[in-house]
Amino acid sequence: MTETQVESQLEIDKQCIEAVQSGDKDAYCTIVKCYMKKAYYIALGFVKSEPDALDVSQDAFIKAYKHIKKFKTGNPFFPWFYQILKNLCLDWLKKNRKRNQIPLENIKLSSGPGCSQDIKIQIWKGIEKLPLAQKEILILRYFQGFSYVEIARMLNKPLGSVMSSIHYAKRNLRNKMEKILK
Amino acid sequence: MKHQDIKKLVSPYLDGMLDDKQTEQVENHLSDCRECQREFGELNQLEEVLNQMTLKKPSKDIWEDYWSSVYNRLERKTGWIALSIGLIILIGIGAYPAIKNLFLDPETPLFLKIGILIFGAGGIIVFVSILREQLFFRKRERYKEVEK
Repeated sequence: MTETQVESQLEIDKQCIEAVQSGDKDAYCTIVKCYMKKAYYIALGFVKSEPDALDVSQDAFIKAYKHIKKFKTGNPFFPWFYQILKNLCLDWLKKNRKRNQIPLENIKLSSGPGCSQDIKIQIWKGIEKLPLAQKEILILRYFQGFSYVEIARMLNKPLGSVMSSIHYAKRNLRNKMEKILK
Repeated sequence: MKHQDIKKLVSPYLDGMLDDKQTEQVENHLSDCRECQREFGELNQLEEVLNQMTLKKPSKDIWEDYWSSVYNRLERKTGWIALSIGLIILIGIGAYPAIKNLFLDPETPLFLKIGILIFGAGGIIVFVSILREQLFFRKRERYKEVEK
């Protein structure tokens, strides 16, 4: 996203959220439609099943709506919403620990040149074994395509800390994948 | 910049996230340091695979129905809350005189009075417990024990 796009998005968010805060439920539609895909894929990264990701991401929008008056307009909406979504995903994981151990082959990964589907599944399994914070940061970076700056905003961390977290997460994953990638 | 500091920059360098000065520092260091060259090679290989991986796309219908589903659930939740509050009030109003009469009636067997008291106490305990969980417990929980 360019700086102009970010500013324009910020303005749209501001207008819509001010309208929602004044009781206009329909204005929330614009916000939901704008962020639903990001929310769904982030939830999918955590909960790993399509229906559950849909359910959790929709719950997050409902919860955000209920607390919308606490949101300070002028700030970007998504980092604030992300905290709600993440907490709901963690709640889900806590409640569904056993279900969470479903075979990871259930998550299909797009095929691309250069490496087999099997390697990708092994890498996904490796990501699953990482500590939560490292798994989260890799999903945001590589599966959602967020920039380092966006991740820093979402996680409320300094940019330098995000850089080193991504580095250590990749290093850790690389160590787990050493035999497979050689 | 020290070797360890440069090593941490290899990953953002691969992601193209460094400014010109940092990029130059990393490139200069990489040309001399074998350890960092190995780090670069390994992370680059992983990066190539990660960049090819995306999560499966859901069907298009999901996006078409997404907002209406959120809207319906929002409405339904408000409806359920209103329904529950109304039901509690109605039950309270209806049950109070009946229970009062039962307790005041000397012919009501003692076991029935005790049963009603235990039932009422149980209901209050469950209600307070749920309320306490909603108000305090959930706020304090930081999900530290969640591994995945």
